[in-house]
Amino acid sequence: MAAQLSPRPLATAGDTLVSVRGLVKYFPINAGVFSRHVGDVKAVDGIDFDIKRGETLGLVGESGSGKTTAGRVILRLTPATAGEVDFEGINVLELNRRDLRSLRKEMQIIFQDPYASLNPRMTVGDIIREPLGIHGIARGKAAEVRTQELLALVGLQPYHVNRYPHEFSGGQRQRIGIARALAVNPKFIVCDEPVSALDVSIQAQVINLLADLQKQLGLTYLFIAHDLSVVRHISNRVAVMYVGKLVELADRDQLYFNPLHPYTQALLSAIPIPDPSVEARRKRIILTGDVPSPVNPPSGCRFHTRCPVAFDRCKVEIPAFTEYEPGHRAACHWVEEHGGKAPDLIRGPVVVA
Amino acid sequence: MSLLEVKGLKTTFTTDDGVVSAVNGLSYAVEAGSTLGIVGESGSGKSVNALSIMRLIPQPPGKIEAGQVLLRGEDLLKKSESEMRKIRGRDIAMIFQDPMTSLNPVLTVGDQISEATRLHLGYSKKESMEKAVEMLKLVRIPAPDKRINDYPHQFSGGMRQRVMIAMALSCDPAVLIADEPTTALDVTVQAQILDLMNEMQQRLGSAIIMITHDLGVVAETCKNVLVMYGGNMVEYGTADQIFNNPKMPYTMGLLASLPRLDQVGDRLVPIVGQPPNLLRMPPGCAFAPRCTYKMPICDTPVPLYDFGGGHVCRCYLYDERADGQKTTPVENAPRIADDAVAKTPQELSA
Repeated sequence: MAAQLSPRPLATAGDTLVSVRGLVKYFPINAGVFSRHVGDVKAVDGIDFDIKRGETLGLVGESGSGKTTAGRVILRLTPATAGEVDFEGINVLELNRRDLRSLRKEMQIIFQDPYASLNPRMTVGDIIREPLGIHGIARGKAAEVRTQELLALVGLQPYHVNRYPHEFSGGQRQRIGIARALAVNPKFIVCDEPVSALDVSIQAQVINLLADLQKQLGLTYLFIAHDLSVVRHISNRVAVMYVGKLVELADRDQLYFNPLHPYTQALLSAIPIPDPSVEARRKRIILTGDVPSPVNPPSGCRFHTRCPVAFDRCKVEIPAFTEYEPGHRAACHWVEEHGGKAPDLIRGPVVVA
Repeated sequence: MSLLEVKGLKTTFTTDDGVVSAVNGLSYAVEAGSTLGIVGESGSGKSVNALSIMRLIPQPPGKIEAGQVLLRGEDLLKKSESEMRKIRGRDIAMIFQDPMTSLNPVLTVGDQISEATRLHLGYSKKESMEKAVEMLKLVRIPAPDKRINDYPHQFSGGMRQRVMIAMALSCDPAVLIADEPTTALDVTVQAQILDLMNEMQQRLGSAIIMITHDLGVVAETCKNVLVMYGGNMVEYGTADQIFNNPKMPYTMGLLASLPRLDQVGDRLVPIVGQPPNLLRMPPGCAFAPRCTYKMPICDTPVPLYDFGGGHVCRCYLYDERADGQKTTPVENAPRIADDAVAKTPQELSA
């Protein structure tokens, strides 16, 4: 089969490519001589969202929020505990091994750590060729040609093909990881913190590369990151996770200009902006305490232990993930009881005018 | 006289492939009560600079080859190891990046915090423990009198970093060196820690050296900023000068390549190329191979240029000798901060 890099037609742009429903992932905790099951790490505890064809959905959250686990479960790199992941009408979580393997061509991942995710004993060429062979896409000469195409696509030089990962810097390694993911010509890529391990001046190179590739190849991204500035830059829509649950999902600008959930507000206000004059004018919402453990998540709304506007209902009742304006969903009792208005956490718990 | 002055510091490491100058002739000063941000990428020498001040460079392979570190006029590099031990923790304290690995897992946090006051201030065991409780309370750890008997693994990451701060500040040090103090923490916890450090500084009047790669953190906390690249200072100024009127193409490039939470641009402007290999440093400006303004003269060692108000920069763009060599870069020109958007190199030098 001839290798090709022609852009995929976007005739169906905007329809749903990936649909996640009630996704749950518990990691069992076993203890004692008989490895008795004593509890679960509730990494992902019932999340729903859709990813539209050709878009970038940003998934943000702090450590322990379950964002990475969500990405891995969607690709079935880790088995789910419950829920459904629908990819172009196929339930990914129910596929048998053979079908799953062929679906892997459509769904790929770019890992966070470019130092740990490349086999040090394989050359760049071997790394990029491996998926081509496994999926029977190209062999021999055709594989060579395809490898060179991919190297050029991610901005590496033809002579890099015989080098080993240790000869590259972090940014270049991440390019190798991207070329490997693109080798099978996927439709959907989970980018798991792809720039977090890179230096500031290199981050921008990789972000631009991902944006260019998306345009060129019609890719759909689930972009997982803890850095909201990066997510805001690259995403069309953003989902915010907190201890295994989605707390807010909105169009990028809706989320940044009108965050409904108190956690989203605090998260946005906590991010320093590299401009001292802006910083001097900003007011910060300082949350108390730390992110709770997903082993024993708080009852009711999981944010109630740190929330400045929490009231009795938040401690007992899990808030519904409700749509308050078109495409803007949030899970908060306060917002619900105030008719979809966000609390003003800086001036006290009053409604934002 | 400045509280802490670093002059011509040069620290090298001997490796199998040759000698690496991690810090190469660095000079700066820090005043009491102010915060200096040191910004740089990995390998720029920012952490080695901190370890050199503390005389914590492992020797060999490391060696402080030249320079002075003057604390209230006294050269720390001339002190004996036992004199240094009295200075560390009392006059200069350090907060490390990783609170998970920089606390001793087999001692309670009380033991670890109280050690400094017992050693440096001659407190009794009881007094030092009382002081430790007071410090934990100061860094807002709930139930400090009980938590004092807990071990580091019983604390979360943010709490461990608070313990580190409590430990570092227990002897009221004149200088606090914070090496990436919030890099390992989540943003909401980072906000708490930065807030806390600011409050501590106001209370104790310490000078803080904040080493970080995060320009946002610098903008939020620092009065002065030192930008490092390839082992040396390339630009220094007040936060306002550095962020609003950067002179060095590297600084401009860094600011342009950052996605900002409060702005959405179409495309980031990255700095091309890779950070320098310290084993094969360019002969002149370390940034020259990546610089869009590169001129032939950049291959010779670059002096510092003074822009007044303390703002200095190491770049030939501001030298008369470079006048005939300047070119206007067509592509990838650094996007300069708002007030300087249209400036070409010619205008910049004017």
